[in-house]
Amino acid sequence: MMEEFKKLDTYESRFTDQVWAGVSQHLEQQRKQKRTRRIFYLGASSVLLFTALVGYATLSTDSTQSAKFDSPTSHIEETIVKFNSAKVLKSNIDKVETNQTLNHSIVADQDVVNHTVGSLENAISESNETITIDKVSITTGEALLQTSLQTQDSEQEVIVSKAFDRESNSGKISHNSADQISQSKNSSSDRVGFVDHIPLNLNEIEPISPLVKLKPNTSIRSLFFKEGCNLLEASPFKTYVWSQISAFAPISQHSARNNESMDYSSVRQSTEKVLISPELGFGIGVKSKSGYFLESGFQLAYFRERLGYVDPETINVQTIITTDSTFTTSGVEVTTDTTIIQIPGSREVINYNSHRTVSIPVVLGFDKQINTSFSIGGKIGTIFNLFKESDGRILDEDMVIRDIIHNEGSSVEVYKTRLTAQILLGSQFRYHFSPRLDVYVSADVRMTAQSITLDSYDLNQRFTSPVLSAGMRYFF
Amino acid sequence: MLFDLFAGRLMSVCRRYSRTQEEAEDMLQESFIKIFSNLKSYTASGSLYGWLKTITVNTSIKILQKKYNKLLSEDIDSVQIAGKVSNIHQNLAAEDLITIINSLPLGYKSVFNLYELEGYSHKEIGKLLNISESTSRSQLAKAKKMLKKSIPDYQKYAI
Repeated sequence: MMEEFKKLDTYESRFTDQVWAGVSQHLEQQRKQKRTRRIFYLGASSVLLFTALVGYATLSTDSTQSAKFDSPTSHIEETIVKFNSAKVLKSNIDKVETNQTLNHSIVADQDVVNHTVGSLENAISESNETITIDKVSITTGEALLQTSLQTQDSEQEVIVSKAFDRESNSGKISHNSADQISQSKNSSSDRVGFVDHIPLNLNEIEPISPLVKLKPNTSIRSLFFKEGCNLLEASPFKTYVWSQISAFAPISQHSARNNESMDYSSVRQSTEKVLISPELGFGIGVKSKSGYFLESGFQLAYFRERLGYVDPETINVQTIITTDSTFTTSGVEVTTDTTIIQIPGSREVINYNSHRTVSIPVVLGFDKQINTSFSIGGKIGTIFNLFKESDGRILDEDMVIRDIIHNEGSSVEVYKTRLTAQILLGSQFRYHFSPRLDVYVSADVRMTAQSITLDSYDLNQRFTSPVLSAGMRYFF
Repeated sequence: MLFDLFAGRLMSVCRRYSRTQEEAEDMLQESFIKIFSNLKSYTASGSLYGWLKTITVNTSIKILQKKYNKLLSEDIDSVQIAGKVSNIHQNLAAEDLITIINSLPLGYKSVFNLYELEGYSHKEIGKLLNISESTSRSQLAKAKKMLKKSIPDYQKYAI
């Protein structure tokens, strides 16, 4: 008997075409989801990678740096140049000397370094001492040259500090300072210092010397607090990451593509209302010293619309039956009067449709500084839609409510799977929470440049969306 | 194309596990979704049909468990067979065999299919259907007994 049953192994049963239709529909959905996920992950990882690279590069150039220089003077064996913060400059010189690990730094070019070394050489020659240059520190904003000199003879340590003016001052340490070196050597005092504050033009302190060896500054404190952060001004561009959360309420505008669809257009216009919806955005940007910025990233939006439609064909009749009875005192029913009232009514269909979009904004803007803490500005840009998915129901031309599913014959095909592009105009108000961190609110208007409906569909549909956002920018 | 090549044969597998034609089509559809989704995991070390059949059987069982979990483990002592297969000749037609199998209660036919046709052990069946090995054995014995009743000529064959 089992041989009989074995024939089932090769037996082919019949089935309807719906099986394959179901399989292919499911696979198509899977493919779409996969494609969306792939685009999202690719975009997100690109943004992260780019951010990480820019961040690393920026952090490195802004960090404490050291370099080795060859010098014609044999006495100069090694010069370590440190670029420290202007904040410290405002303190006394001893603090600089004892507080060598500072939070922020600035880039300097070879010229500055050479100038510094030249100054030291002069100082050394004038002091008539055999001196090994041990350390040079430059703080900028108001440039300070601080030199720690050690004599070979007495091993006394002498500190000479000199304001360094790249524009007008030769940078040489004056005779006065040389005298002080001599005096200090001859006196019992170990240290001598003085400071001349002459502002340094920061614009000229670039680019970085090729000799500079980079060391990232990993101080967490330096990320958020102001000490020395003005030194970021040294770079003409600042890179930042941004994130924001927005609320928007798209106003939908329908227009007929032909005369026959005029009525349909007005029905669609009157039955649909887009609700206030959330959006999440994140990305990177670059800001110039003059206040212009260019930013891009990803925006994920989820918006809903309410479809409310009263079907004139569907009449609901409410029937009220009232029965009045009269009873004797003993409880016997004497008369009964029944009234029947019918109230005609209609049935309203309410449905909530949802749309999900993934977009890439490219925004150019300008920030005008009001004071040290606040700035105000405007922006313009384009938002390129990568992906749009819609679920829900819609009134078709025959005034029948049908499902919205893309690329499926059994349902009405309405929307493009991409919204093409949106134009953005907006303004923003920023509070500079710290030199690295801005928080802001912005008010934008976005308009879809082209219809979001398929070309085969009878109506054009565009959105104009007022958008309110709150977000933050973090500068590297 | 994979679907065109194997859908018919796999449909007959689904029909042996299902209660209705529609249910069998659901099983087949679900199985092919899984097959296409996991096509990369096929290593080509065994027969392709064997791999497809395993997925189909597992999917069918899962659907049955979702829908009729209790019926799968139910031990039925007195079952009314829907009807005897008439005009049974020595060489039974495949359709007749499917009808015979489908006349069995759900639990019995699942065990019979898995043990006799798919070659699973009672231990494996127990795990798959979430029943004990002894239940699997007793359901198989009862399934055979019922098959004997439903097929007059069945006596000739030894299962």
